[in-house]
Order: sequence, then C-alpha cells, then structure tokens
Amino acid sequence: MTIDAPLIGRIGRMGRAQRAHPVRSEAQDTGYGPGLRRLGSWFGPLLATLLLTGLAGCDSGTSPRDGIAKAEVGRVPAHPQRPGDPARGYEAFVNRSIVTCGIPYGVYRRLREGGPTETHQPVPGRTGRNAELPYGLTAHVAASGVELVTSNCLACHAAPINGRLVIGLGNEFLDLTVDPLLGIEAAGAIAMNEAERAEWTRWADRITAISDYMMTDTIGVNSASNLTLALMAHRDPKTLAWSNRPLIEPPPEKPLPVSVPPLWNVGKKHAMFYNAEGRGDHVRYMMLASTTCTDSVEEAAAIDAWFVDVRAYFTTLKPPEYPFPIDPGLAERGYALFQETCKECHGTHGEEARYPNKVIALGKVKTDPMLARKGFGEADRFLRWFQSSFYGELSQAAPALGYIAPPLDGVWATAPYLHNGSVPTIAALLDSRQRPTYWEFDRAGDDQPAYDRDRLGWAYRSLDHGKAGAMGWDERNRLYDTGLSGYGNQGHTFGDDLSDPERTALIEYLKTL
Amino acid sequence: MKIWIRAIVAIGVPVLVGILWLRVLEAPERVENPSLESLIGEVGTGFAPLDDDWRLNPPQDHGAHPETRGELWNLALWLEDTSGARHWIQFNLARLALSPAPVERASGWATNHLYRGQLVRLSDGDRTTRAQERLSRAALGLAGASVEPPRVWLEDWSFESAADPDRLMVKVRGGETQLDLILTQDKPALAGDRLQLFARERGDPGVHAYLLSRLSVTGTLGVDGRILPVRGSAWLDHAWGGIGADQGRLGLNRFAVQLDDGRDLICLEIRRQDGSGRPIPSCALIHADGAIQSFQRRDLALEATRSWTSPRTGRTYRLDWRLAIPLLDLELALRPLVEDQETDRSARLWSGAIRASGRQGERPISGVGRVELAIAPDQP
Repeated sequence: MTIDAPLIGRIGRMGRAQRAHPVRSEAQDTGYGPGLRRLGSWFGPLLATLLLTGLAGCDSGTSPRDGIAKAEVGRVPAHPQRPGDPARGYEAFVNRSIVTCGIPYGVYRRLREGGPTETHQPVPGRTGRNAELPYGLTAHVAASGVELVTSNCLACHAAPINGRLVIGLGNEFLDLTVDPLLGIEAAGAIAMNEAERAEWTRWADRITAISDYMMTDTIGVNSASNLTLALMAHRDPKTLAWSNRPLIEPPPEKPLPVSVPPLWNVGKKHAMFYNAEGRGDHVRYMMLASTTCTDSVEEAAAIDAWFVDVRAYFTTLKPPEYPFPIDPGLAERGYALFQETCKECHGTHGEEARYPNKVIALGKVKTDPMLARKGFGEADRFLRWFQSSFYGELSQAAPALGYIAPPLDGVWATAPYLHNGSVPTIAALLDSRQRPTYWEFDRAGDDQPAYDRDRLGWAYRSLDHGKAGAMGWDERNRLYDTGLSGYGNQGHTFGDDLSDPERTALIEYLKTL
Repeated sequence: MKIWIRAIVAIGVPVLVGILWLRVLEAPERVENPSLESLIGEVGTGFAPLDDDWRLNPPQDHGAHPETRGELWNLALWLEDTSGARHWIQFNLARLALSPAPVERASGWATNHLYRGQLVRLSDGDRTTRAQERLSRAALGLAGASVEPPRVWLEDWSFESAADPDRLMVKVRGGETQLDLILTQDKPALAGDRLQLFARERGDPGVHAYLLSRLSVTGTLGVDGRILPVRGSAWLDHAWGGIGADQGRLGLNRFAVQLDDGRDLICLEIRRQDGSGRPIPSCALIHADGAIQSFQRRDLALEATRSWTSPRTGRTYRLDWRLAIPLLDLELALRPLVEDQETDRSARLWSGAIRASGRQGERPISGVGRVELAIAPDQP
C-alpha cells in the first residue's frame, strides 16, 4: 500500500489521536500510539481489498469457463499454501515496503513541521528510519535514490484495543472518507528538488487515478476491494505496466462497504474474501491490493518472494484475550447454546476446534446481498484479468453467491459485525430487533469509543436520521446509514429466537473465543 | 504547506482577491500604476503566530488587526436604484504590515502599514467594469485603522462598524463612483472553519477569517455626479494573518451566491496552475436560519462550460459554470453578467458579477453572485 495524499493532510490529527489514546503493542509492552491509522489509511486498504473481491482455487466446487470460474455455496476445499518463515515474515512485514511509491521523506518532515509532536511508540522490530515513523508508514529508497515514506498494511490491519495495539485486528475506525487529492496537493505545495518532484508526481498521479475508488461514504468501512479492482483496470495483466487510462471498465466509483476481517484467521480459512473467491495460493491475493506502483512482473515476483514469509507470519497470529472478567458458569451455559445454534456454520473452538469453511447461500444468511452479487455477476472482467496475470498463476478465483461464515476467534474484538460492519454489537447481531437503522460511534472527535462489555462492541448512538438528514459532510461521514445500497443490516437472524438470558449466556461464551 | 493554501484549506474562507492583492503589494514590479517601490522597504518576517483560541468577536473583529502581517476586507454589493437599474460593486481594502517590530521614527511619513483599495462597478448597460484604485501609507492620517469604533480608512474611502453592532457603514468619495451605504446583517458572522470547506476542523492558526454572507443595504450611489438612492444586498469576507506571501503552484476559483430563497452558497475549487491533476471543489450552503450544509468533492459536480480570453491580457478564464449537488437534487448555472470583468489586471484575476439560475427538485431557484477566477489559462 502506498502513502496516499490524505495521509499527509491528516498528519497533525494523527499525532493528536495518538496522544489521546496511548496504546501498547500487543507484541511488546513498549506502548505505541495508534495515530498512524490516519496516515496510513490508504495503503492498508490494498490488502483488505482482497477481502472483497474474491478469486477462487481449482477445486471441485468451481466451474471454470472462458478462463474464469464461479463457485457453488457450501464447503470450500483446502488448497496447499507455500511454506514460509514466520520470523522473516514479521521482519519484512514491519520494515519492507510493499508499496514502492510515496512521499519524499523531506516533504513528509516539512508537512509535520508545526504539527503536534509524534508520540507513537515503535512496533517491535522496526529498524532504521522505520523506527521513527508511525507504524502505518514504511521508509523506502526509490531507484532514484530519493527516500520515500510509503504506506503499509498496518493502517488497516492493526488497531488498538483496551490500550494495546493488536497486529492483525482490522481497523474499524479508519477514515477513508477523506479526499486523497487534498493530501496530494498539500504535499505538492512543498518545495522539492527535481528528483523528489518526480517521485511525488509518480505517486500523486497513481493516487489521483484511483482516488474516487478509495473514498468511502462512511468512516470505518473499508474500500480495499474496490481499490484493487481499480488498480487492475489500470494495468496490463500480462506485463503489469501501468496505464493512466483504464484498460478495462473500472469498478463503480462508490465502493461497497467492507469490514476488515482479522488476520489471525488466515491459517484457518481455505479462501480469502467474504464471498470466498480467493481460492488457491493466498499470497498473491494479499499482494494484489498493494500494487499501486508495482509496474512489472519482475517487481511483483520480488515482492512475492518475501510475502510468502509474511503470510506464514500471519498464520502465527493469535486473537487477543478478552481483557475483562468472564463469568465461567454463564459462559458454560453459553457454550451449550453455541453448540446448538452456531457451530454448524462457524465451527467449534478449544481442544476440538473445527472450522468448516462453509459459504452460506444468500437465501439462507439473508444479509446484505450486494457485495456477493456484484462479485458473482458483475466482476468477470476482473476475474479474467486476474487469471491472465502473474497474480493468478497459482490460483483460481471463484466467487460464490453467498458469504463465508467466518471463524469466531477473537470475535469480541472485531466489532462492528457482518461483512459490511453494519451491526455495531454482538448483542444486536444476535437480536435483529436491536439493530439501529442509523448509528454512529459514541465518541469525542476521533477518539476510540468505550468498549461495551455487555453488548460486546464499541459504544454507539442510535440516530433518528440517515445521511440525507445530515448537514455537514463530517456528520454525514460519521453516520452509518443502513438504508444505503450495500449498507443493509438485515439477515443473520439466527439468534432472534433465543431468550434474553440465553443471549446473555451466549455472549459470555463468545468472550472466551 | 503554502500559507495561502492553509488559509483556504484549513480555514476555508475565501480571500482570493485580497491574497492576490497582497502579492502585488509585495511585488511592486507587477504594479503598473501607482508604483509601490518608493513606499515599500524590506518586507519583514517573524510575525507572531495567531492565537489558537481565537473566537470570532464582532463587531471588534470588523476592524483591523494591525499586529498581523496582512488583512483583507472584500465586499460585494448588488444594488438597485429607484429607477430599477442594477449596479454591481466590489469594494476591497487590503492592509500589509512591513515589519513585525517597526522602528520608532519621528517622521510623519513613518509607517509600518500599506493600504490598497479598489472599487469596481458594473451597471446595467455596461459592457465592462469601471475600476478605481487607491494606495497609501498609513501615515499622516492618509490611511489607517482604529479599534474603537472599528474603522478602516484609505484617504476618503472608509469601512466601519456603526453604533448598532449589527450595522456597518461604507463611504467612498472622490471618484466617478461614490458610496454612502449602511449595511445591516441578515445573518450572523460565520468563522471560516464553520463552513467545513475541505477541512473538518481548523488545522492551522495562520489565518483568521469570517464572512457575512448576507447584509441588507440602503443608502446612496453616486454615478458621474448623480446621487441615486439604492437598496440591495452585500457579502463581506474579512481575513487577517500570514496571508499574502506565497506564489503557489495551485490556483483557486471561488464562487459566492445569494439565492433568492434566502440561502447563500459558497464554493471553492482548487486546481494546479499547470493544468495537471484534478480540481478539488467544496461547497457550503448557508441556510436562511444560519444553519450550514457542507459538501465535499464527491458530493458535487462543478464544471465550466465555456472559456473567454481577455483581449487586453490574453489570459483565458473559464466562464459559465454548472454546479450540481445530487444530495439536494440541486442544479445551478452560473453565468457572468458580462464577459469582460477582468478587474485586476496586475494580479491577473477575473472577479465579477454573475447570475445564478437553476432548480432544486421541481422548484426554480435563482440568485446573484460573485465569482473570482485565478486559475491558469487552460481549456475547460
């Protein structure tokens, strides 16, 4: 992922957010500021992009035709993944640039001048220049010799919870509503030498080309899949050469909302993305969202060589433990309810853990169908692009007309829920009558909301109007409007028949996962 | 970030005319008449930063803030005389401080401030604008500002707060166009950051700014020796701080419209001067009750449908703009009253009167406005 313009414009605010919410790294108690979530916001989405689109593996459930495949709902078969070294993967994950264009470092420093002092803490293992940068940014020296500040995966795939930075937790507060063009021009207004200007121009042109596909209508939801499709549209699939003009029809400019799933489930899942289209080798799917400036097969192959290790590192991630007290007796009753109500789709946990990797048909889960329908019926040109590119060499993308029931490891930490983040708490997920039609996080400014231990999720406010009733764009962007296309909170009503005590017990059990 | 970009992006209040004027004050070689070379010494730097905790405080803030580097008062007037003839007037004052720590000098000519004024009129039947200009040191009483009452004057031109804090007075004497006007606030003053143009919050204290988007006007207009009673409306922008220093690689177009239904519309558009990149517009609608509705680039479409080349400077400007805000089902066409309103040739600026017409839903809407165009000449 690349450093995008909006990052620049938000540098000051990032710093403040960091001060407001000092957090500690899950991996090391050195305490990090979450601040970078604003700066890195665009780079991170690249990985998340993959979540949405889906490409499927060569399994019996798929039916390739004309070079592309669609999958049946039901079980997703396993596919062997290339082995990697998790330790090397971590080192690369926190230090190497998968996005190779960005803001010249000198410009970055100038933009920071006069802003709040950065108080972020380093992610363990960040070395050299990276040790001084917020965790959502990575230093990279371009072929021109210009040192760049680039985006990385952590802006989307790390977030604080209970004062600790959790690598792998989807960032549900990322603000992708900010216009990247403002940051581009803010950076461009800084004096630069010729080489720096050339690097800025390269980065600015790329981000400008995809900016509309990145911007969401709502803070917190992610546009990574749409961004990935836009990048595909601008590249020759054979050579990966960039074209300023799209070579195939780009995706719609309004991204469908997606909640970023946790990375600690990577090892359990046979397919990537909500519609389980990411079948076969997973590594190149993961890279694909970060190809802002990967302009040749050689460059892509070089990244692939070390991203195998990164994926291996992802498989070692564990969910954070619930940090508050749990009632063991209540949780035990909840376990029994879970076995009756949830395990068929979501699997079991503990010593006899079993995850079924099952795609549930739209007609059964009945959650907002837009993402699955678009991926199944309106994305063939992207499936074809993928299969004919370096990225599809080891995979067979195959979207299904449904959504995969995710593993529930650490589910308490991953609010809001459903693939589009439309349901703010698990309590509301288990009782559709509690789901707010219009809501926003209950927080001051960009602070993280309080965690609701009873309902499991971030504190929120129900509102009496949707986006059409909001006055300012800031208010509009903070408001989740389930009446919008793709933002619906319907379906998954499997908990509606539980009694309130049963629901309370089930919630208690979910805290233990 | 360039200072003037901060003023626009972080604060959001348009001060385009004044910014360009102050550039001229700092670049005397660009001023053809009169010359500033004899007036300007070395323009100093090192002005103290503005107060982060500033809160708009009218009427005191209508006056000057002499501790700051530069200051702008831009007033647009739409007047109608008793015969029904319409007159569009811009009245602009700019102040520039030469040093943050002026040396005490005994000479009566000693000064730390320069003032520039411009009056532009376009009346029914005119095919181009008529402009008057004043330039003076703040010395020997020729120009200056007072705090109580809040007042700014430039020879026999003045802008001041009346005893009634909701009223302002404008007096212009000594030229072919004369004004003696009382302006009454129909809406309260709005600090620029409340408009949420581009920025979510005040990001930089480099500039303080506010606007009065709608004032009722009564008084007299002197035209070629005739004194005409007039009524109408006005829009005031006032900004002060570190403005005026930068020659940016970005340009700005600005649109201010008073709609007949009581709402006021302000839009800004940032573009690169070299024509590359993509324009970034942002708009805010100020309702009759003062409520503000703001819109980002993705919420609206703002595009020019025609260009015009100045026969004097050869510079090309985009004219005839179309604005659409789908959330409101609003569409407006913004067309100049006449093409030739390149009012400040030294600053290369098209700043002129426009008429707005369009619809919101099925309801027709119309209005009057001022558009300032400072983007490089490329084709729409």
